[in-house]
Amino acid sequence: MTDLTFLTATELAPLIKSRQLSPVEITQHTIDRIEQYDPVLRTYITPLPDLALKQAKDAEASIMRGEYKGPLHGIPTGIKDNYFTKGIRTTVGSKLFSNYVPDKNATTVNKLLKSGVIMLGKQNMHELAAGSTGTNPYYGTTRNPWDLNHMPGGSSGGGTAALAAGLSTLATGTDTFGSIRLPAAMCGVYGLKTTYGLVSTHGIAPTAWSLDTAGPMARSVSDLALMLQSMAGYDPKDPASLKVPVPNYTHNLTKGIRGLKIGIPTYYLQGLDPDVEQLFRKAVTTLQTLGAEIKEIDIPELSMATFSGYAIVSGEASTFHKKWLQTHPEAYSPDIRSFFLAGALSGSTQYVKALQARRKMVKALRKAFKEVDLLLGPTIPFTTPAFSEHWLQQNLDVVQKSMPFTSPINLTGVPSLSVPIGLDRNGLPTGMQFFGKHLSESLLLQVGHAWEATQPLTNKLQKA
Amino acid sequence: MIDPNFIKQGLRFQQLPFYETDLPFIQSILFTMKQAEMATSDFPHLNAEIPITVVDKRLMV
Repeated sequence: MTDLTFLTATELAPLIKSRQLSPVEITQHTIDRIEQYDPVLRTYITPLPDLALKQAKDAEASIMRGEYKGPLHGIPTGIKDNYFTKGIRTTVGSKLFSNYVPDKNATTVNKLLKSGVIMLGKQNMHELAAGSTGTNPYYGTTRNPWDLNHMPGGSSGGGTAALAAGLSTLATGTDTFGSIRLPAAMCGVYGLKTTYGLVSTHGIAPTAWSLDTAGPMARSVSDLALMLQSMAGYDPKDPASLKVPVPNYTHNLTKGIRGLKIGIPTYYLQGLDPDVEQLFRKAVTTLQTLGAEIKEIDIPELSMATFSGYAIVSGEASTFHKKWLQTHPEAYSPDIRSFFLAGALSGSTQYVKALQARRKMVKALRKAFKEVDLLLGPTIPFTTPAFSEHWLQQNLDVVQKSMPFTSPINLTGVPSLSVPIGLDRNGLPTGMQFFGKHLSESLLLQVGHAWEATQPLTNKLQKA
Repeated sequence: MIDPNFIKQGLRFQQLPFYETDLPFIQSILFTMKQAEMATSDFPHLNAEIPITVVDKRLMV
């Protein structure tokens, strides 16, 4: 009997379609694992085993009637707890929303349910999607399945840790300044930060409106493509939603990368941990072996990303939270409260200057994309840290160190795919990110698929 | 380091709470932001750029 635990959606789908595997079987298997391992890993805030089993039985009945919906039908999926779910508590990882039960689903939740996914539960996240360690004093700190003493990253760390531990097949994430890519890198899975506006954020609790994006996370690139196919598309309820055609994201997956021009901004080679640098250099050599033409490229404008990222995230978040900061300040962790209060203290001139810097960075990337097809850099410059007893300061430190690497992508609105590149000296995964022009998701997935075929973590996924 | 009085008074002015224990965190974040802002001085024509803003075209046209 095949162990179902780490099969991808791409592998499960034909089994489900051909009725060799029931959605009930894979769902029950995953629920059993959640019950066994999640008391320690804490990847879920609200597991939904009864609902998941009901959905799985409905899916099984549909498929038996010949009503197969497609490759997501019957696939166990975790939903980050900042996606609104009708009638189901949505905490946003915060004490502030501990009893919040939305009366509607996020648009993306509706889309995924329509595609037939099984909703396993609401996954853990860093408080208010405003931190990067996965520490959560209210719902339990998520632990990295590769080493329980290490952080999973955040803010979508519940999802990436669940994927790495086989506690879900697919997971949804959000990315405002790295919240999909950073935990994907730390947990050794794949995460796609989408073009701003490609995936609706209607019904997702905002962190910073002008940067927030939603996207897929999975154990394979082809699974990301399947999820994106369901999640992408125009939504009149989201003012930032793009009215653009949605291509077939699986169509070009196997095209390879021979002849593609990839630029490495020299900005992304500064301040790397020696392990990250070594793994990244090795990955670059592998990409060259696959036929990519790689060269270093200067984009000095990226040096403004840290300022711009801090000013915009903290400014917009403090605006959204101002009323609650005034009335319920004790409902915030001190690090998150301080981050937001700092945003309230930074002036509007700083905010506007940050928006000017954004335009400058977008123009600089457009210029770069006339020379190369894609850009590439480490997802984060440091290896996955162990938890510190000084967790408040540690979260602010991780944000500070990752912001220069993650925020340029959010500030310019381009898509970015984080892929694993190997293990550091402590046996923890690290990652690199490809990023491309606006709406270049198909190309990113094509390149990611070719990279995945090099098996960067073969035989290394922890079988928890 | 950022003047604690600026932080206290700035927050009070906006009717926002001030916790003494938050002070080092807020100082550190504002200091990081201030230091990072120095990178913008490498781009003397930054003010020629129109800020990127979220404009809902369906409301504006």
